[in-house]
Amino acid sequence: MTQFVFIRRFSHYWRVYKQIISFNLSLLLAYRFNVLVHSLYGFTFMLGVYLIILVAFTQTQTIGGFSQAEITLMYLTSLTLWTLLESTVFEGYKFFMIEDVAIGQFDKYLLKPLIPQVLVAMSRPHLTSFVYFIVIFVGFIWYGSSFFLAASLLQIVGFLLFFLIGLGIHINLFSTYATLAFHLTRSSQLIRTLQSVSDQAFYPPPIYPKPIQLILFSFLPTAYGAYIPVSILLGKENSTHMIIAVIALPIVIFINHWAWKIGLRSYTSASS
Amino acid sequence: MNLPIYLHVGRLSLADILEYRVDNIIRIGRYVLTISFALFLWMAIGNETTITEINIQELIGYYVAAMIIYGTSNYHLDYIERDIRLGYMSKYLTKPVSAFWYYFAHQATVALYDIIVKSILFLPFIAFTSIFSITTVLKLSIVSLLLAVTFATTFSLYYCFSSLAFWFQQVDSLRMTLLFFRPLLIRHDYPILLFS
Repeated sequence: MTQFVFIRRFSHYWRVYKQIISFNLSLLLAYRFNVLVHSLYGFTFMLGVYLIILVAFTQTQTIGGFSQAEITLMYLTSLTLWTLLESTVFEGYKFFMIEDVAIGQFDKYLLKPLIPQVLVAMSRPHLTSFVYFIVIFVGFIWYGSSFFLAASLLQIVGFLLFFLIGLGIHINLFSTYATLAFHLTRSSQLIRTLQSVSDQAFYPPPIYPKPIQLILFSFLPTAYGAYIPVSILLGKENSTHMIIAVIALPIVIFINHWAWKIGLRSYTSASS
Repeated sequence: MNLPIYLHVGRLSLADILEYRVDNIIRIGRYVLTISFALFLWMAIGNETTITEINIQELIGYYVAAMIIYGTSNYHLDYIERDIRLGYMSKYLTKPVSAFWYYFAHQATVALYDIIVKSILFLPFIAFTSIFSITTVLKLSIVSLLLAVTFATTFSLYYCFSSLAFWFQQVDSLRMTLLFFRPLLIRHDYPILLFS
């Protein structure tokens, strides 16, 4: 499997990744004002979503059995996961779907003795999102400290473990979606869907009807990124959801591996 | 102004949207999901408590109506900046068309398509609420006119910012400076009563 090859040759990939990061950093420094405004814009966007939580809780004490503080923790967890994804792999998959395959940029990845799938994932680290990640992560630690102190060691370990499982599911599913670029001329709407849904779907899935819950545990896996880990931390876990998460990860890894295999087989470069 | 040419541009834009069927289905799925998530959140709140400021049906009706017309002001013209940077703008210099009206016709078609698709998708929700029971033909006409004015105004404003790409490499930030407070108002589609 690709993941195991990547882990075995991690130091080699890290050297390549460092060069890509340094190149992106120089690009960012060339447009400093642009980066500053983008960063501030991103934070006001996050604040806008948080205001909705505040407004919602002016009307009710709980949403789906979770208090305002607990929903805020869920939102911060979701933001931590998303900013981490956006700063590392998301932009790579996004541009792969929007232009790399369509204009033949992907050819260059096939010429190198490295796994194309990994190169795509790390091709565009988004350093502005990395700034978001650092700030959000610090905020998460600060805000979540009272919850961590109140939780048992087992709950904290469970939180971390299921957060990592959620991260793995997200990465593998996005990577699978990226392979649509091999088969479709245009698939950018999917990226917009993933981004817009992530801003709204961090609330506990039980508040939604069954079909929507099914989507949150499958095609748009936001439930794995925030709801399940936070539920474990708060002692409100649902064992069925935990089992689903544990089973979902290897399934998604397998589907991703299979999707890339099929995609690479059908790819004949933009010039053919 | 050569209207048939711009109408043709609109038809081409529509054909372009409809050509990529899977992408279009995903776009429609996005409309359904994003609106549904907010609706079900407020329905869940409505189930747990009584919202004093506004009836839950009115809230849903207001939100759906706001989301349907959202496309008249929520779009980016970054493709114009790309056209300027890559020199594609040159084609308008050799043809009897205005770049402004060309892009206007394209974006207006996309916005109109959005409104029509969302209206069809959320017809059951609209029927469920009482929002159109008080609506007359005159009121609908005034709303339609206001939407057209909103679109024309926002398009002109965004176009001004995009045209800065003639002088600057990256004008994203300039446009975003203008829209800086929009994220804070991102859910301006909720009735203002709730923010009191």
